[in-house]
Amino acid sequence: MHENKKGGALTESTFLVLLSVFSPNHGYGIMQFIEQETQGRVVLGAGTLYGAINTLLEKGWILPYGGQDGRKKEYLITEEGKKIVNTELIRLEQLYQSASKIVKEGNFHA
Amino acid sequence: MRKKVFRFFLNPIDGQEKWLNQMADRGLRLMETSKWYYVFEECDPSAYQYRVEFAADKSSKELERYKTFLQDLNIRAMEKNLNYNYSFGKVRVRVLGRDSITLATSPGNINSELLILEKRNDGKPFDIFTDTADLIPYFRKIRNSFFTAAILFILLLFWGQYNVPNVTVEWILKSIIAFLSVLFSSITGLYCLRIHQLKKESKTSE
Repeated sequence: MHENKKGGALTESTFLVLLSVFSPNHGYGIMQFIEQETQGRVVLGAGTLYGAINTLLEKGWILPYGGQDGRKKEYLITEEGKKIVNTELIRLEQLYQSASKIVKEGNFHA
Repeated sequence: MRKKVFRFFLNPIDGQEKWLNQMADRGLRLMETSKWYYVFEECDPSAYQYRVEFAADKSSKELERYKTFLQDLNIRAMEKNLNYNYSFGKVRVRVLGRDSITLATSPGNINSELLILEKRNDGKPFDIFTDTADLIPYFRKIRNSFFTAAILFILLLFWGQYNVPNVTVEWILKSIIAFLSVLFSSITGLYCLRIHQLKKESKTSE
C-alpha cells in the first residue's frame, strides 16, 4: 500500500476497499463488492486484503464496526477516509477530462 | 476413506503447493498434516485448491488473527512446519525463521512457519497477494530466510567442527550440509529472479 508522494494518488486496491466500506462491511463482503464493481477485473488476494484493511485501520481511514463476537468482523469508513476518497475522486476526474480531450483530439487528427 | 502419505519437499513452498494441487486434482483433499505426514480424504476431483504461504515472521497471536480473517473468506488455514529444524547438541537452531540462527525463545514462531491454505474451487483465481507492492516484500522475506540459511550451511561446511566418531560419518555429514547449501542457494536465486521481474513490472503497472 503506497501513496505516490508526488501526486497523492491512491493505489487501486486502497481506493476500492475504502469505497466498499461506506456502509459497514466485512472481509468477504468487501471482496464481493470489489469484484462486482470492477466486473471481475479486480479480485483481491486474501493476503493483500488483510494487509490493506490493517493499513487503513492504522491510518484511521476505517474503523472496526460493531462489537459483535460473531465471526464476521466488520469495518466502516471514517470522516478522514471520506476526505481521502473525495480528494482521489477529484484527481481522477481531472485526469479523466485531460485524457478524454487528448484522445479525442488524437482521433480527430488521425 | 483416509489415505496417509509421507512426503518431504526440497522446495517446501512451491513444491508442496504444486503437489497438494495435484492431489486435489485427483480427488484427494488434505484433512490434516503433521511434521512428516499428510492425511487425505477422497473428494470430487479438483474440488479444492491449495496455496502455501510463508508465515515464519508472524507470532502465534498474529497467526490466529490472520487465520480468523481467512475463515471469513472461506479459506481454511493449516499450520505446517518448514522441515529444516536441526538440533545441535543442546542448542535448538531454528533455520528459516525470522532470523536465521535464532534460539527457541525468539519472536516469530516454531513449527508453524508455513500456512497451507485451502479453498473450494469456484473457478475464480486463488492468490494470496495480488498487488506487486505486497509481493515484493513477501518474496524478499522468503529470499532472505533462504539466503541466511545458505550462508549458515556454507559456513558450517568450511569452518564447522565435527565431534564425530570417525571420518566416514564426518564425510556423510559434510555431504548433507553441502547439498543443503546448494539447495538453499538455488532457492535464494529463484526468488532473486522473481523479485527482479516484479520490480521491472512495477515500474509501469501496479
